[in-house]
Amino acid sequence: MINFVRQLIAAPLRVLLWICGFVPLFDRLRLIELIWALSREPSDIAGVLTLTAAGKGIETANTRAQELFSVYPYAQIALTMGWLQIQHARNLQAASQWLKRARQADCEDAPLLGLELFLSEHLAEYNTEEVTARILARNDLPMQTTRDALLAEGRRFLKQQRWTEAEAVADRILAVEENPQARWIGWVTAIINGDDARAQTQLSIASGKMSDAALRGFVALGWLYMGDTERATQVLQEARKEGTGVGLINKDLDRFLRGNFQEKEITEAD
Amino acid sequence: MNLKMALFFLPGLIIGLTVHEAAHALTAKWLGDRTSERMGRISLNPLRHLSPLGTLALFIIYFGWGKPVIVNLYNFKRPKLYYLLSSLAGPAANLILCGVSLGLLYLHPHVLIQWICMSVFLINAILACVNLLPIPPLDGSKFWPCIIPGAKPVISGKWTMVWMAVLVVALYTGAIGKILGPVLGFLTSLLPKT
Repeated sequence: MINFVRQLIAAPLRVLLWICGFVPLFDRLRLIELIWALSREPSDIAGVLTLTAAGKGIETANTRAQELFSVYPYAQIALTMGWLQIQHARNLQAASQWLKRARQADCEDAPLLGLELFLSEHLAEYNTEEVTARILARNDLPMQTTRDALLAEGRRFLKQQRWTEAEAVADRILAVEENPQARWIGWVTAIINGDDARAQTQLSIASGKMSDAALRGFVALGWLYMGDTERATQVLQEARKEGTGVGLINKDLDRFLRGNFQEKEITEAD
Repeated sequence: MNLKMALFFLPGLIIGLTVHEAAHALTAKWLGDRTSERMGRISLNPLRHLSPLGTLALFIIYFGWGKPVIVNLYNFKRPKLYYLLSSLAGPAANLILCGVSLGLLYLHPHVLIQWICMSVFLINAILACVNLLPIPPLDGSKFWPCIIPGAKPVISGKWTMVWMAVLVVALYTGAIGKILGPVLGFLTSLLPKT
């Protein structure tokens, strides 16, 4: 009951915070700090850390998160800092450290699985297949986590050239919602099936919903899985020439980039 | 809204919103998705279902809402149909409450129980009828993907905002009142004559 009353008091401030997103009436960081002080809701810490990282830099946010985590060992803090480290600094090791810290503190596992899946696609110490299986074995996770696991599974099927199974994964996702990565899987399988018109449609839908960098990364990865390294290299060279770079996608593309390019030169933020 | 009216509607609202949201969560669990169960939504504790902002809005703009029940459609064997069923469970629970409170009113109980039953009957009739409107994000809109080929049960946030605006305009211009008026008129005609 006390918690609900706290939330009720914080509610008008949430509306004000939302308005301040359009009209800079007040300092949004101070406002979210005030909301957090009132509500003590773990989800509000995410707002505090996100606005700290945006306004004062990732290092300040990291220090603040460490202070908060020592008092309030919430999964939300580790999760937010993990993603902020990836978005602001592309620091996967720091994100991994936050994940480990949350596990050591016995935080709730469910919110952390999405971050673990992402890290598993880039860091050797994690196994994507194992994380994916762990997620797909559960029926109590948010839709986004299950979708990301399905997409990871789709990519694994493409890598193993199990085209029909990859297509089934894409169809399962597209039966529920529109998703550019599912369209990308559809693009690869359409090319394999020799259906150029469908491939074109799938890629054009995907391109409308992905950043240029991510699209180029996925297209290169698609050619890589289809065994056409020449075309994959060509896409990456074009990305470098045009200065778009490619998004962070997975270990396979990371490895290919390291083998063919100076990774830092081509990997740009989404 | 004056205090007397607010007090009259309060029991109906608290009971109606709680049962509505808990019914969504319970049906989702029966159909294979335990996401809302993990979030503690299969509960008759109103505090788990009332949205602070939605509660506040109710007394300011006369339009409120509960915390939405989160479902993971990938856990459903038949996503479109099961999403529709778990969505319809909310208004169905409200209609059941309407029936129960109507039955109690015919037993001519104590005046306090009569007041609560009347509040529960009216609010749940409104909740059921409004939620059955086929406008996203209302429960009735989950019907469309089942009949339109290629339509997806999950729509983008941008489109949800557009439909929300349509809903608010329809509500304030009285269009919803005109649609629901006859239905609510019929339901209130079932009330015992005092």
